[in-house]
Formats: sequence, structure tokens, C-alpha cells
Amino acid sequence: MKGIAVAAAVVRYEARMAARSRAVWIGMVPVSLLGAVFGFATLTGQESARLNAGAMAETLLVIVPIGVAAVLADRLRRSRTTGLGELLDTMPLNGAACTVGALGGALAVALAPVLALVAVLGAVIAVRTGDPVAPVWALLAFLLVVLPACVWTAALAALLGLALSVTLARFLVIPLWYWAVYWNYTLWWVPTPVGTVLVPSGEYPAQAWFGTTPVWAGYGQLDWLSPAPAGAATGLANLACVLLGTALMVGCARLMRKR
Amino acid sequence: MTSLSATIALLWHESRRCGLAVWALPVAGAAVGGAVSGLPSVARSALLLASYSALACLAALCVVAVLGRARMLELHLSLPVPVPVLVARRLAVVAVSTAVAGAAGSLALVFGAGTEGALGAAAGAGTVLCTAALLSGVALWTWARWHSAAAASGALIAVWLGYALFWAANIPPGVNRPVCAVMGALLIWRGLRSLTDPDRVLAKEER
Repeated sequence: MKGIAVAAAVVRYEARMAARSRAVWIGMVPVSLLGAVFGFATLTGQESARLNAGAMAETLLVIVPIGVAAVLADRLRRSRTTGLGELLDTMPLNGAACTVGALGGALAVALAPVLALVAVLGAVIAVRTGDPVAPVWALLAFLLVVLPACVWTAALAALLGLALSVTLARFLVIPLWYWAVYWNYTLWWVPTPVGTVLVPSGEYPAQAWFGTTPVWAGYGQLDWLSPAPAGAATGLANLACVLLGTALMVGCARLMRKR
Repeated sequence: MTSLSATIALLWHESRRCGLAVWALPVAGAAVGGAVSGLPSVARSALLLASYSALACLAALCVVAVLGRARMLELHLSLPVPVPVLVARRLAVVAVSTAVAGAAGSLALVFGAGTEGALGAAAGAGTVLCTAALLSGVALWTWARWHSAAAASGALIAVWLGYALFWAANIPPGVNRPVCAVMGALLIWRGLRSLTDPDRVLAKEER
């Protein structure tokens, strides 16, 4: 219980710090505008609002998680360079709660422009399909498809930023994301987790709750890791794997920060 | 002749202040070229363009790393060499490294796949340099304007994604390259010009 209160307190001050510094906004606002170009392209208005929302969220994944990762790669390292880490060490804070809070606070600010974009796209879907609950579907698609991917890439980038230099982490996240989620291994075979439940490609949840047709989900290189998308069961399995992967990366980051 | 050797000595001196990133760039270029040459020919032409723009993105991130390493700017303000000249020299070092990276990538492709000649290597270097000019311009301008390496890298990655996914995919290279080069030169000029203001340089020092 105390850990949650600590994490919430850290989230609050980290979010305030991130909101005041312009770095997060300067990175995320252009990325969201680019996402708007992608998102609008998928809104045909010919299908149901639910399907439109799922397809829109899947399209946002091409670009938004990379922007989030680039912006947040220095999040866990910053406290070292600014001396804030030493100040925090003097306080009775739990290390894991601190790491989660530091990442979560900045992530909340980084996702604010994306949430605004999703609200706009939800309104557009409502107008095009004539379905008044479309904004709710858009919000659900954001929570189930976009958010897990962003949390995962933020943890990956922050961990890489601790292990390597921040510049290298910012660059490496881009090929890593496309390799993990979009690599066409039938064109050039390399080992990749594409199509498995391990990666936050959003295809399993989008199929489960929004009825989209997955491209790669179920066609991974290892059959037992890529079950055919079959509704809520595989959707939940994917979300659980993504959460577990994020927890592992945050755990590693915490160990590295303790050194 | 003496001025040439003096220029080389100066660039060498600055290159040691730019950090490891500048040396890693040509290695990355050769590695990318080698990897692309191992592809089946169907995939090669598509991935070649993507890898050139990835190299340009790497070069611009190198610029951010180099700018982030600029220390003791207050001391530099007291020297006869103005800060914009100092930054321009370091950008020149990154530009040389980028050209070598582009050429190394193309040469690795020539040796691996044997599809292009020396002209291909020069064209590859040119493509990477033009794209890198635009992205470095965005990075330098953002850094000069908002005093933050994180903001500069965020902005440059956003511009790079837009460039790679929309612009380069639809605009023919004959238009793409000169437009990138001119816009990059403009942004670099604006960024360097804003560094002539000592107050702005000192604001960076305070961070």
C-alpha cells in the first residue's frame, strides 16, 4: 500500500516536471500530428465505429510508440546527471516504486497529445459512422492497443538509455520496434518475435475487442507462441505478456539504478 | 598548402571533442551496406532507401550527441573564435563522418552485391548527406532555440518519421535531395545565427 502511495507521489511530481520542461512537448506534438495523418487515412466511415476505432489505434502504433521511446529514453538517467537521484536517495522511497513513478509520470505527459488526437479521431469516427458512442470506442482502443505498446517501448528505451548512451538508445529503439512488430520474415528470414503474443503489436487485443483482421498475429515463427487470434483469451494473454515484459524491463532498470 | 594542413589539424582537434559517435558512424554505414547486400534482390532496392534514411537519422542523432557534449560555453564566449564558428566546425566533422558512412555503406553494397559502381557509392553518400543536412538542421535549430538535447532528438525523430514515411516515399529523388539540402542549410544557418546571442549561449550553460 505504501509502495503505491509512493509511486503515485513520484508520478505526480515527475509529471509536473515533464509538463514544465518543453522537451516532451517538442517531441510528442509533431509525432501526434503525424499520427493524425495516419489516423485520418484509415477512417473510411464505411464500417462500424468499433472496427474503425480498432483500425485507427493499430495505425497509430506505426509511429506513436517510437516518439514516446525517443522522448523518454533519458528519463531514468536524468536523475543521475541532474543530481536529483542523490536527493531522492536521502528520502524513504522504495526503489521500484520510484522507477515506476519516474517512467509513469513522464509517460502520462507524453501521451497527453496522443489522447487529444484520439479524442479528435473519435469525434471524426462518430460523425462519419453516425454512431454517438464512437469516442468511447476510440478511448477503449487507446487504452487496450496504444497504451500497452507505449508503456512497453518507454520501458525498453529507458532501460537502453541506462545501459548504453541515451543517443544510441534513441536510435536503437526505432529498428527494434519495427523488427519486433512489423518485420516481414518471409521476405528476409531473421529471428523475430513478429506475430507472437510477446510483442505489443496490438493485433491480438484489436482482434479480440474491436473485430479487426490481424496481419501477423498467429503467423509467428514459433507456433506455440503465436496462437491464432481467438477473441478475449488471446487478447488477454497478449496484454499479460506485454505487462510481464514491461515489468521485467523496469526490474532490470531498477537493478541498474541501484548500482 | 599550409592552410589545408591547418584545416585538417583543426578538424582533427575538433573530432576528438566530438566523442565516440563520430567514429561509430562510418562503421554503422559499412554494417548497414553489408546487411543490405545480403538481402534477396527483391527486398534490396526497397530497403536501400530505408537504410540510407536510417543512416541520415543516425548522423543527425550524432549531431545531437556532439551538441550535448559542448562544455564550458561561457569560457568559449571569452575566446576570439565565436561560438557559431565552433559549432559549425564540429558540424563539419560530423558531415565528413556522414559522407564516409554513406560511401562505406555503398561500397559494402558494391562488394557484397556487385550491382553498382563507384558512382553508386558517390550517389549513396550524396543521398545520405542531403537527408542528414535536413535532419541535422532540425536538431541544431531546436537545440539552439530551446536549449535541450532531448527536445532536439525528439523533434528530429518526428521529422525523420514524417520524411521517411510520407516525403521520401512519394517525392522523386531529383526533387527530394535539393529540397532537403536547401531546407537543411536554412535551418543550420538560422540555428547558428541564434547562437551569436551570448545570452542564449549562457542559458544553455545554466542547464
